[in-house]
This record gives sequence, structure tokens and C-alpha cells, in this order.
Amino acid sequence: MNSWVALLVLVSVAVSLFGYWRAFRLHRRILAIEPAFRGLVTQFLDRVTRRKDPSVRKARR
Amino acid sequence: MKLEDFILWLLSLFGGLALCGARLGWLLFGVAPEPPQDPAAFGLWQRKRRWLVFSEISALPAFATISVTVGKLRAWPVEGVILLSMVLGALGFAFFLDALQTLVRRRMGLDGASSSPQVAPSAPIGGSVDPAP
Repeated sequence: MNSWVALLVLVSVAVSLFGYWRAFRLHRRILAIEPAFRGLVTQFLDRVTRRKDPSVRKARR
Repeated sequence: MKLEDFILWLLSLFGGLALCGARLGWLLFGVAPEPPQDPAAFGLWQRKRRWLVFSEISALPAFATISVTVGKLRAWPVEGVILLSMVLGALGFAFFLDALQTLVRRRMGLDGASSSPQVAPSAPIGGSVDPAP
């Protein structure tokens, strides 16, 4: 049973790594065509803020 | 493996899928920047988004298995197992890859200057983005 669990985790992580690697390669190809392209955010730490001036939200309150 | 373990694994999988789907929707359709103008680059952009979704969703069985295993080893209640799976799904595979990359870089002393976690981990796919407020 333990070997099946380890195999499941391994296969899942391997497929995820493969998908991430493909996305990374495609991102490099997009950058070769359009160097000014701003990439896709992958997680919440590198999200793009659309707020131009942070004081605007404060003034509305 | 008992049937209740499998049901718990399935519940963890769906819990992780719910939050992972919410995060992917927010990232891909909520805060995503504009697509590239060039038609060839636009096709690549669509393929890149698709592969990113494959990558995140295929990590969910590993997350569910990890949470069930940790829950069994630590004798957690069922809710704790599902909550851990949901947290892992919400953080996502890219989060852990970026965290690993940051740790390795810091250990090797490659980027001593960029100590902020907003800029350094986003290099592979995020590119140059503004730091979070």
C-alpha cells in the first residue's frame, strides 16, 4: 500500500513539474516574440495590483 | 487501505480542487494581465495558461495523499485532513516551487539583495511584476 501511495505522489508531482516546465518554456517563447510581455501570475504573492494610487482607496473611506 | 480512508482521500481531493479552482479562476481571469498582441504569441499564451492549469490540477492528488498521510500519522480529525488539503490546494504547486527556488537561492547566496518574497519567486513565469501592496 505504501508503495502505491508513494507512486501516486511521485506521478502527481512529476506531471505537475512537467506542466510547469512546459508553461515556463512557452513563456520564454512568448518573451522571444514580445519582450515587453508581462507574464502570468502563478500565485498570490506575485499578483499584479491594478490600483494606481493606494491613497485613492483611503480617501474613499 | 480501508474504504473510509479512500472516502477521506476523495473528500480531500474535492476540497483541494475547490480552492485550487477558485485560485486558478482568480489568477487566470481576475488579475491576469493583458494577452500579447502578436497572433503567434497569443497562441503560445493560451497554451501556456492551459499547461499551467494542467500543472496545478495534477498536483491535487499528491496534496490529498499528503494530507491524508499526515492526518493518519498525527491522528488528526477528518476536518483537519480536509482543511490541510484545502490549504495546500489554495497555495498551489507554483507556490511551493517558488518557495523552494527562493530557499535554494538564499542557501547558495545567489540573491542576497532581493530578500523580498514578492519579486524573487515570480521570476520564471510571473516575469517582472509590481510588488504586492
